[in-house]
Amino acid sequence: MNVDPVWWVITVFSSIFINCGIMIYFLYAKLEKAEELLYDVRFICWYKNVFGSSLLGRQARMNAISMVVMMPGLMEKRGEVSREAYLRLPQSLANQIRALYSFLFVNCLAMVGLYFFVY
Amino acid sequence: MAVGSKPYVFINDQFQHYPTIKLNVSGGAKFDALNAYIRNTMVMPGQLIVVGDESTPKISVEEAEMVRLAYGTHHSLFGNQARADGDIIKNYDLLQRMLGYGSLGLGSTSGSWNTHLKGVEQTLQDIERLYRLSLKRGTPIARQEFINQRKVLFTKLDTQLEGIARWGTGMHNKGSIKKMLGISTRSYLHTQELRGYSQRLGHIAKASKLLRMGTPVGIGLNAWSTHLEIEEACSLGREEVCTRAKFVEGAKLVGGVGVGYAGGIVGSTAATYACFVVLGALTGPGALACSIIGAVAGGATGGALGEIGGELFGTKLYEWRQHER
Repeated sequence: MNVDPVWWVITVFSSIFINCGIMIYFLYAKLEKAEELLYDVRFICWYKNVFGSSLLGRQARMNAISMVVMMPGLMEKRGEVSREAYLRLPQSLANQIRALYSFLFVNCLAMVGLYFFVY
Repeated sequence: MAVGSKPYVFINDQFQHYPTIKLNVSGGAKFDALNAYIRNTMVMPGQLIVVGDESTPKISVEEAEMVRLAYGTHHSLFGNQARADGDIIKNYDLLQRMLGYGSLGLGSTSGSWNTHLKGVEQTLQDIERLYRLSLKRGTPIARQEFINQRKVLFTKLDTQLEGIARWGTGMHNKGSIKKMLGISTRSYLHTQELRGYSQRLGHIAKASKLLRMGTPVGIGLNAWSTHLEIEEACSLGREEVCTRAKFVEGAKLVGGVGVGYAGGIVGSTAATYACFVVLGALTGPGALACSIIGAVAGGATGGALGEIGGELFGTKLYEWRQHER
């Protein structure tokens, strides 16, 4: 089956734009809640103070939160996040953030695939 | 009767004599009037040339706006002493891409770099205050206290200027801090000021300002570039070329900015993760540098890929529209 390359472009781009939309929703609706729950984590406070509350600043803060949910074991092992702090994050919120970032990385791979196989 | 054509501007890409350009575009008296500031000179790369509607001697509002823009560019090139420097033109596309999409990513981290630079500024002010206070006192105990406090502040400054973290401060972290700052107690007593201190603060303020402007300037440049591409296509007078340019260039802009933003997020996230896992850098200048490098690289790559995809999509969209008509 020979699919017109533009359909791949439309699919990947739509996926990326949806991802960006959900990300922006999280930046304004969920970020502060997550930060409040991780109030005693030093590097989360550092990111909050340093990056500010602009859209892109919030994005950097979200990246910091994502580190806690994407690699909790390593974070705990290196003494950056305590077990208690990690467990304070509701499982549903942690799963949502994990899914959002996984979606982002899948989109990134799709974009790379688009470059090598379609462009 | 001469057939009217839409006025347009183009970028001169090589060092050439004005009459040559005039001949190439078949310019007349109006061409001279519109490009009066470069008339009969060697035109440098990067300058904008305005080609007006020769069917009428009257200068339209659109032409006047183009002249204003071209004159501004001319002025900027002279101001930056880039006169005969073809590098700007040779690297224009790269510069534009880096500014456009790289800055999408850079914008996310520039705020934090600004905070870092403010920290350096604060330490410099503390050092200056310490020198000033030590002059007022002058007892041996005060002198020892001064040396201890200075040591603390110099160590702090040394940490703040490690590696890439000194970028934007205008300081080179080589040799002793005293040498770097150009100060000694004796010279301070003599001049009552830290040599070049205000210059360095000026450097920091300028870098902070530039960083804050990164993202809007980048997106603005791309939007303006899209506008110019469409203008150029529409000035040729064929409606279908003009419509096609609107579809293709518009889609390129949307694709470039959207995917550039996503690329900036991915780049910054991946670099932050990698720096923590490999180097153990989670906070401080090291983590900031990782974040900035990742964001710029991701933003630029994403932007470029988005543009290619946008072009494909825009072309297809135009074709579909043609079929429907």
